[in-house]
Amino acid sequence: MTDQSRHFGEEIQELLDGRLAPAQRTRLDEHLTACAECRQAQIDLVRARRAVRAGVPAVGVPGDVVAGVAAALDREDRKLLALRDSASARGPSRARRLAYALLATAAAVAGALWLFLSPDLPAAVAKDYAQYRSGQLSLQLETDDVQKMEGFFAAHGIEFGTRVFDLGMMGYRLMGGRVESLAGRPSAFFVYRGPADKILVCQMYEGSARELPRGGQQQRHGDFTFHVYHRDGKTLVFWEEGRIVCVLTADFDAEEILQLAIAKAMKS
Amino acid sequence: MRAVYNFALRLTRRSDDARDLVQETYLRAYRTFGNFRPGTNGKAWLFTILYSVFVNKYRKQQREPAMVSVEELVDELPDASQGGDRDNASFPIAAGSLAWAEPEVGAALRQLPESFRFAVLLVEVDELSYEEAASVLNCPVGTLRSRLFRARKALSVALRDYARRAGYGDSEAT
Repeated sequence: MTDQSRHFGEEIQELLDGRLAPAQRTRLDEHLTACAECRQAQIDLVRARRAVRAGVPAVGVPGDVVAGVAAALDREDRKLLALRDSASARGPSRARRLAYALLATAAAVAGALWLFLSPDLPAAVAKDYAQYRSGQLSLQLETDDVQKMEGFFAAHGIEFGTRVFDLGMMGYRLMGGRVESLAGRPSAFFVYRGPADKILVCQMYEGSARELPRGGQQQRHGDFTFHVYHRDGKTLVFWEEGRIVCVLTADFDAEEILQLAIAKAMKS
Repeated sequence: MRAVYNFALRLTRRSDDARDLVQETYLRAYRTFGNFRPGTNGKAWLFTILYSVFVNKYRKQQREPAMVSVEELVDELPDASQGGDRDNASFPIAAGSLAWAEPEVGAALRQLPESFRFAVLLVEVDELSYEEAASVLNCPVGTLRSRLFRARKALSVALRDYARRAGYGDSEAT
């Protein structure tokens, strides 16, 4: 006799996850045979489950994560060994002082390690520019249509609103763009070609100008502060638009790049 | 370490925070290794430590999502096959990055409340049992089961057309 008195919900999930007792399973199997609604619910749950399993791939572990864990465990080992040796040789009071000293040293080392591992964003942006110029980075979408470009970014994992401005008035035409990874976060990377085949690259990513290293020149225009860096013969101009950081990169006259950045920022 | 790093990435949404979180997790696991019971799931144990560190160190910066009924979820969750609501404008719930996921799946997952999303990811993607996932999220198994069901039901609606097109579940459901 089948149970037609009600539809099933969580029990179908439990069935799919292999958690139902045999008697419950038999009862639900009988119900599913007779109930199209619950059978459809079961099929929908299976489809969603398979889509999630296939649609969320694992990303690889960056080398600096592995190295960071190994270094932290090594430090912990050394700290414990030092504490043990100290405690047995000199008594508890000195051991405690040594522990404080070791903790302070570990904190200093961790701080230095953090600074060392922190990405040099201007260098990373300059590298992207060089790789594009050398053909190592290709455009995933070639278009001079700014709306198509923005739509591409929205459909390919850029969660913030990109504003790909038409710089035609400045003599620069959009070539296309790609989704790039900048210091571990997605970045909208798009390219303009200007007079005399000058190449201008814009990147937009979620972040803050506070992440930029010291040493940049700051210039204020209107509500915007522009941070100018030079790396490997390129000039990079960063500025914030809310929670988004924009950066223009090129290998021509720095003042011209700054003026383009100001023009783009003022249009926002 | 791959699973641990990916879990950290889903929680923090930033690779540098994920790196710190993984490092802190392994350090704490090393210090408290005596608490690990041989024969139990080592991955779930590491996940539990990681989630605890995350809640204590990182979660304060984020807004706790509101609890909603599955009817509200299903009503408000846009159909991923129609492009979805990418900016969460109508559903202001903390969203994980998931930039590496299939766009339709990422969009559907992003619009689940955080506790629902973590439940479904821990069980479906990380293949933890209900008990292990409940332990990681520090909630009763019954709560985990309920969140999981509601999340799956919402996802089944959002992904119905996408999953059918992609051929997921064309064969008999078992």
